[in-house]
Amino acid sequence: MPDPSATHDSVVVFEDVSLHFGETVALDQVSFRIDRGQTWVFLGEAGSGKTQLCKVMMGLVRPDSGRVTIFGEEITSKGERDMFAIRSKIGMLFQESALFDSMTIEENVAYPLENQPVRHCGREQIHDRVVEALRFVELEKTLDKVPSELSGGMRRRVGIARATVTAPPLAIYDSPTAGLDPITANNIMAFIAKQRDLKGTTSIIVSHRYQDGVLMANYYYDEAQGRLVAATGDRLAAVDTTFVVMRDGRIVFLGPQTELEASTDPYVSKFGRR
Amino acid sequence: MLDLLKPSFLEFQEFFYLAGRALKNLFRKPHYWDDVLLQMDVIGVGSLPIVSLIGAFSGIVMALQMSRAVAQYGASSQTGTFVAIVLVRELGPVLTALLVAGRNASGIASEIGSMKVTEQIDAMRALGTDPTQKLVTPRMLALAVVLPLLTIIADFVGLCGGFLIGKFRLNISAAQYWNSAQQALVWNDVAQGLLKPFLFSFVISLVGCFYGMRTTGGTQGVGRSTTEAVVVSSVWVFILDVFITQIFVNM
Ligand SMILES: Nc1ncnc2c1ncn2[C@@H]1O[C@H](COP(=O)(O)OP(=O)(O)O)[C@@H](O)[C@H]1O
Ligand SMILES: [Mg+2]
Repeated sequence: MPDPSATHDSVVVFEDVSLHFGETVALDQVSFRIDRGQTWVFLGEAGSGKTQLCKVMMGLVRPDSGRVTIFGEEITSKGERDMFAIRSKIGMLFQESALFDSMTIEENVAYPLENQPVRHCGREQIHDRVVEALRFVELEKTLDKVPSELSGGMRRRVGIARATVTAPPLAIYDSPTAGLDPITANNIMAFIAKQRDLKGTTSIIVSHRYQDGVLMANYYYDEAQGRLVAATGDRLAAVDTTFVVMRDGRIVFLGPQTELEASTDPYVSKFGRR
Repeated sequence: MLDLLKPSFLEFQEFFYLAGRALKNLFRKPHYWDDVLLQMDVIGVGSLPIVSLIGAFSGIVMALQMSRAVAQYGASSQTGTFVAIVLVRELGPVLTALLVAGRNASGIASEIGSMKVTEQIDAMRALGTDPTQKLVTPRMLALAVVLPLLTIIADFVGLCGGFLIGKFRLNISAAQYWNSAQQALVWNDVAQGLLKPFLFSFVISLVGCFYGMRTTGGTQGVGRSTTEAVVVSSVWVFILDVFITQIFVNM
């Protein structure tokens, strides 16, 4: 049970959050607390409630019961219009990228800068910020393309650029590697780790691949070398990663990597093997 | 088919909730005028050819039918009168609305529906926009402007079609045809001929958006929403037509 009074540094607090769709239980009494700078990896099979968890966190879906607190603000009772300010502090990559297919890549990435009520930068700087965000994911040459012209992996990268162009303190990545080949998947994860390590973004990664979690927990982005390197000693301790395993909307495991790998529960250990 | 028409109370409630929000947004910032203009182009300019074509044919067919009926009373010269009244009061508004329902209620539902199933609607909300404001209100506004205009065009083209028949089959002079048409139309006809498309426009745009927004179940769901939007908006165009006609007849 998270302690609600300890909201000092907490970014996300879930307290007994439940969500139903008719008979289907999407989330069942979910509780946890995420602090600033941490990395959380949510694992679970399809339909275990990972996507709905992200949407509740983003205030896109209102839970049936329980409390959700984001950056110290209780969001479960807030109206849609009051949510925009909180959402602008969170970047979200949707499961299938959810790029606007009637817009160019540039317009897609510029969308939060232009539409969020919080002013991120002046009109003149929008283009520069967009190019910078796309350069971060090495896609600065696709500005004028439309999403249907890009591959699945490239769309994910644009999705990451759109989620992080506003430099949000919290980023949620819903299944960033689903449906990608292993090489492209690792590539995507490298950009997520890079965002975390260069910008200090609190990161939530939803996945069904344990490798994604292992990568987040044991590697960091080295700016000098321009790539991911294995973390050791102090560095490893700094990469503060928590693993969660979900099943049928319930949290069945919550803890560090070592505990996950030591688990004897058949369902949990399925997600603790590389 | 009957299932589609079975109105459920909850659905009605949701529909009016959406309609209320879309209307309220007219008085709330931000306004997406670019989207309004784009939709006016897509719906208005895009529908112009088909609406003109069908308008012309309905005028022609009506003049042909009328010519036989009126000839029995020796009133062929009044063809313009009948064509004008039937077209402006009834056929122009209803045919145009049905065409636009088939063409654009489906277009709106499938566009918004595919955005819904690919999470683009959620992404809009996540990135700072209200989908009702960004998607529904512009379509509603655009159709409210464009459908009366399209109806006027259909009426006019229909009258021209009627004129061709009058001139070449019934030997009515241009002056006679247009004079009788003009004299036939009183304020009441014009008012109802413009009020109808104005009100129909809300049915078409809002039903299209409503079914788009509640789409679930992937690509199949989009197909389902599209069909429902066309069927339901067409039926409601007729139901509304009966009510409005009833009111004007009693006036
Ligand atoms: N719109 C919806 N209507 C009904 N059930 C839903 C809806 N969205 C999700 N669910 C159900 O909620 C559960 C959790 O779904 P989801 O969060 O998408 O799972 P995951 O992302 O882990 O695959 C599933 O059983 C799913 O069928
Ligand atoms: Mg999912």
